[in-house]
Amino acid sequence: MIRTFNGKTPKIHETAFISEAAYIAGDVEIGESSSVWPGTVIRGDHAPIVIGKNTQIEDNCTVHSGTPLTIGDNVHIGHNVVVHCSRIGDTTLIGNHATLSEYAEIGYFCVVGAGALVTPGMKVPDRTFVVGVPARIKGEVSQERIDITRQSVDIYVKMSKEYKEQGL
Amino acid sequence: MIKSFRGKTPKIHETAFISEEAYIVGDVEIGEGAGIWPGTVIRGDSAKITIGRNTQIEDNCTVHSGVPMTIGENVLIGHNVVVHCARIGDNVLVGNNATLLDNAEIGSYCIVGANALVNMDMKVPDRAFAYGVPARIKGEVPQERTDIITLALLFNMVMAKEYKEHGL
Repeated sequence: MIRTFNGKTPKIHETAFISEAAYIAGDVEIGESSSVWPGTVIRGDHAPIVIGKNTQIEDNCTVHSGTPLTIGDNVHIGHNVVVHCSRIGDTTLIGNHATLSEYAEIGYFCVVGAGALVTPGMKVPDRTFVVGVPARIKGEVSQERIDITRQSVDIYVKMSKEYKEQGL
Repeated sequence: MIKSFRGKTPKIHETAFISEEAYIVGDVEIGEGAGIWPGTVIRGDSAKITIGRNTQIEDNCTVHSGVPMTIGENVLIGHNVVVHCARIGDNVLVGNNATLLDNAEIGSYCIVGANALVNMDMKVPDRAFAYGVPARIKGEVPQERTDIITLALLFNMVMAKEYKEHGL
């Protein structure tokens, strides 16, 4: 469902796939070939949420913030993730069930491990791997790992088009 | 909602309860007396998902996998769990908010503690109790504990029947 709130209607690129079981409200912008999967809620009520192109937000995620939130291009966000941060850079992978807290900023080419808790205000530099509760920096993201993120993004861009064609 | 994808329609036993707020798509098989609760997404698009008899998957879970996944009989999966593994045996309890990652295998009569993160490829042997982030094997599941799981499962099954009768 796509809903207007306080006069703001989500702006969704015509090539993006929004599942019939997702819920998007308010000041939200979603770019070309991005996809939002069943059960995910994106709530742009306190502040705008901008999502780039080729980005996937998988099932049962919640995307919401008290301050403007920008998610870049080619970002792959797993299942049941809570995105409550300020920024996610391009070509970053967020593992299943991670939590990104207020004002946190995740750089480009990062990997946030499954189940990680990125605490309020944490800055994750470009090309960094973080994991744990609370999340700690564990090293640099290898070129192979970045390629895997790119492959996941490609697979999802293709599959989301099939879902869209089938009217799901 | 129950939807077809790539020509595959979920096969759901007539006695199973599927909440009106659950979303099930693609190559998914669900056995006799099973219950799928509100907000849960089961996405059989990349690979087949088979769920055995009496198994209950509570609210807001995501069940998805890149390889075929089998969940056995009499399994109780708590709220907000991410099931992304290859196998769960019979008579298992998966605690609230747990995460089961790619290719992991959980044996029969196991308990996965609440909030546990079962890492990629981890094998949890039969009757093992695993918890923590990342999950570690902490001991054996005593018979009393297995009996409690059976009771909790029965309770859910009875309630699922009531929900089904009410058309929920």
